Amino acid sequence: MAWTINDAVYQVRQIVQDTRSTSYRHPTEKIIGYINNAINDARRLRPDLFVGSGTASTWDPVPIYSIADINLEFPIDPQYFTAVVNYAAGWLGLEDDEFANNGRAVTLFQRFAAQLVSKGV
Amino acid sequence: MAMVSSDIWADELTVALPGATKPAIQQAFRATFREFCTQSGAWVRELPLIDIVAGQDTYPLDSKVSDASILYILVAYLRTVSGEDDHYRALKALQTPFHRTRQKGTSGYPRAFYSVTEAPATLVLTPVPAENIEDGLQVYVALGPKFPYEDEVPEFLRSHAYDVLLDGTLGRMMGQQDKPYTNTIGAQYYLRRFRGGIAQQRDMARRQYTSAESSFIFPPWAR
Repeated sequence: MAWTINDAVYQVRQIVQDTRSTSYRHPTEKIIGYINNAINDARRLRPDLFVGSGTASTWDPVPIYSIADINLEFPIDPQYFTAVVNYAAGWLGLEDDEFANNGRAVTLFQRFAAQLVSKGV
Repeated sequence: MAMVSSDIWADELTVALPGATKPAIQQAFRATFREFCTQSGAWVRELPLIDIVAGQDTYPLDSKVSDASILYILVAYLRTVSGEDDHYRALKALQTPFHRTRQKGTSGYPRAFYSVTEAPATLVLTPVPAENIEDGLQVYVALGPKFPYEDEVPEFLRSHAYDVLLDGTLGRMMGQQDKPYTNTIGAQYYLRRFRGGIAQQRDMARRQYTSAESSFIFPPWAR
């Protein structure tokens, strides 16, 4: 079964410990927005991830997701799923004033870049 | 011509290129295959015999090949039949417009040919043939992948040039910057092997995959 955008949102909430479904600290729309940012930055760092699988087309356009798209399939190769999750969790960590852990956020951003352009995890 | 899927290569390359996606590998493979065909001319095909028509000097060849694109004409023969014997005479390949203009004429059999620069799969005979010759033209062409790609490769390349295409794609992928699989030393190594493989395949194709050293045969009195 393929990953979905919802799977990414779920894992982001796990990392920032925002798992109480009756009172989320972060609205789902906002997390999806950060996932969009992650995908756009991935497009900048790794354009090859968006090469179309067909032999006639060269590029898949970069998608922009909304809450209505939450059950759509994750748009890039599954081996980069965690990179996108890390990026979105990093942004949430940066904006979280009360329980901020800036060191963790920076680590998550670094992991995003390392996962995309090197053999780092 | 039997074809095989390029997935055979892509699946093996996935193991050697951590972090690479299959579409990216396939894209690199297509470029490698195209370069291999262009540089080596190893994908050779004898076209069906072509009727020579009196007064017609231009013969488009594209319609003779449906599963590939013609890169260039390797050699063309004038075929004549005398009784039960077929006679083949190699037509001289002309390269410069200067020679072409000097060869204009309409008498006798064609002696030479050239290709149209902007449509390399078009053969032009010179002098213009003066008579009809059924099945009078035998042409060998070098082929390359057609557009759009169908990610298929001639089957004989799987047995004869598997590693060459593997090396070329590995080098092309490793040479990309800022990827998990970037490896400049590896890229140099594999591309060097690729160039060597191209040269070997070019040589093998020219010798029709025989062990002949050359096409020269000593005449009987000199043996």
